Parts: sequence; structure tokens; C-alpha cells
Amino acid sequence: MSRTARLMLFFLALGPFVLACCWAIAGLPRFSGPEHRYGALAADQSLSASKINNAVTAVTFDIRGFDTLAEEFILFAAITGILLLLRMKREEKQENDLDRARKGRIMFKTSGAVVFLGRHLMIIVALVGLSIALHATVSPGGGFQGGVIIASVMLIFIFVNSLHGAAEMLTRIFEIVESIGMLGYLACGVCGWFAGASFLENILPKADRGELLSGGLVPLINFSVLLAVAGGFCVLLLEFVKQELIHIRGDGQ
Amino acid sequence: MSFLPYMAAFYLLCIGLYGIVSSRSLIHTAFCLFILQSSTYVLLIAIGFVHHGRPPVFMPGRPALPAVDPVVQAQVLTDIIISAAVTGLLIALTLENYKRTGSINPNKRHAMKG
Repeated sequence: MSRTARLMLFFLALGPFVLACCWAIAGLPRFSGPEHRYGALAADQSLSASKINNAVTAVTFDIRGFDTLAEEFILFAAITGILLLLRMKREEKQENDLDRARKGRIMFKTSGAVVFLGRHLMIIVALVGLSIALHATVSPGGGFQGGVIIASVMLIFIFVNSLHGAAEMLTRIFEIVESIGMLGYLACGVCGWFAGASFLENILPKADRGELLSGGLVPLINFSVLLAVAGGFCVLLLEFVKQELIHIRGDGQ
Repeated sequence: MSFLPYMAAFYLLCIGLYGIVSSRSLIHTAFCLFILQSSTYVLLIAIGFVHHGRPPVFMPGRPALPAVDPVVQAQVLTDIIISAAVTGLLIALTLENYKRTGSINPNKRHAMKG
């Protein structure tokens, strides 16, 4: 279908779609209305049963723990797909410095200021990420947010250091970190079975509210999510950066 | 006035759809899908909003209620991570398409190669 035909069809369909959506929006609960029965129940449950101050963490890892496991698997599957698509093919090989020089590509030398600032920034960003991730039960944050922040350390690392040679090893390491995270989450679930309870049931003794390790199983699940997300996003970033180093055999020679 | 946040979500949905339909580059398509997905975050956060509501992080010694809805916030949280990973997957598909056919224009049709 040509682009013009597609646009015409789109605008034709837009009219009924807008009408249907306006009808749907009119039926939604009033904005900032008082009725949040499910939210109030969840907040209550997180305080009394899970003993967690941060209700969002309680919902994510305790009340909806099984859904979060499924979402973790979506992340895992997406990253496995990226690994599969961007792997080295038969006709590709990794470029080294000599190839680049032969093709006349300019090699930039990272300036000293960037290296100095980058090395310090890496430590600060990693610590902020860890702090946000590990204080999931007492303050806003959690494994997902902290994991992404820690993965951004990878970007600074690539910016500061030349990646030649280290890329393969780093990918291997972070693949293992991601898998440990996934297995950790599953192990937390299976623990319930061995204790005679159901899958992902919060069986560990719970500390008082406001403690770092309050919430029984939740800090463990949170930590495995941190590993899975940080590892997964590091692999994702590395795979895209490695594409820059690949060239197709026979190209330009 | 009370429907404005919902309309904002609907507007994001529409411009995301328009971007996908009118797209000339697959990278553009992937980012339009990301904008389309962002409409769900706006919608969910709008549904959970409470006037003068506190964040759903309860400290001892502070009045607990009213707080905004924690359930939708938890959903937005996982939603963002998933959509970032899916966008990555789409960009990888685009890259692979470029390597095979030399083009990232979705309007050009290429014969499938085994």
C-alpha cells in the first residue's frame, strides 16, 4: 500500500476512533476522584501484611509478584532477541584499529578531562543507583529504577575507555549477571514450595516497618530484579556499541 | 477541565499512530511506537491521581492518607522498562534490515531472502 493511501485510510478511520475514545473518556472515573478502592486496599495491605513503607514496592514485588516475574521474562526475551539479531554473522568480522586506519576513519583520542570526569562520575552514578535500588522498602526506588541507573554507568565506561577487546568479555559477564538475577527471582518463588506454601508466597520472617530488610522475601526479589535489569541493559548497550566495531567482510576492499 | 489529563493521553496516542502511519524510516517508526506507549503512562498516572494526595511512601509519624494510587504507579514502572527493552529490539531489527537490504524505508518492499 502506498503512503498516500495509508494516510487517507488513517484519517478516514480517525473520525470514528476519536468519537469512540471521547465516549470512553466520558465513562472514566472523574479525574482525582475519591474512589480508589483497590489502591487503598493495596496501601493498607503493604503496611499491615507486607510491612513495607513504600506501597509501590509492595505492589510490584509482593502483591503482584507473579506478574512482575512475567514482566521480567518479557525483558529477558527482548534482550535474548537483541543478542540473537546482532550476533556476529559468517560474513562479518570485528574491525581492529589497523582496519580502521586503512579505511581512513579518524581515530579520536579521548581527552584527559573526559577521562578524569568520567571515572569519577562512574563511581557516583553507581553509588546513586545502588542506593536507590537497595532502599526499595523504605523510600522511593527499587530494583528496576536502580538497575537502569547502574546500567548507565556502562555508557560512561564506553565513553571513557576504548572498548576494543573488552566488549566480548563484558557481554559474557553481564549475560551471566542477568541470568543470575532471573534465577534468583525464580528461586525466591520456589522457596515457597519447599516451605509448604504456594509459589512466591512471602514466607520469610518480616522485620519492622522502616527497616532496610523489612518485608521478608521482598528485599531478595528486589536484589535479583536489580541484577537482571542492570545486567540486561548493560548487554543491550554493549551489543549496540559492538555493531560499530563490526564490518562486513569484502566491504570496501 | 477534569478530562484534560485523559485527553492528553489520547492526544499522545493519536500523534504516535499518525507517526507510525506516515513514517518514512523504521527508526522513526520505533520511536513513534515509544510515544504511543507513553500515552499509557499518562493515562495510568492520571487515573491514580488524588487531589492533595501524598506519595504512597508512608513514614511513621506522618498521616498515612490520602495517598495517590500505588497500584497504577507500579504498573507504569514495569511498563517503562518493558517498552525500553522492546524499543531496543525494534532498533536491532531495523539494523538487521539495513544490513540486508541497505534501506530503512518501510515503504520499499524487498523480496524475502531465506
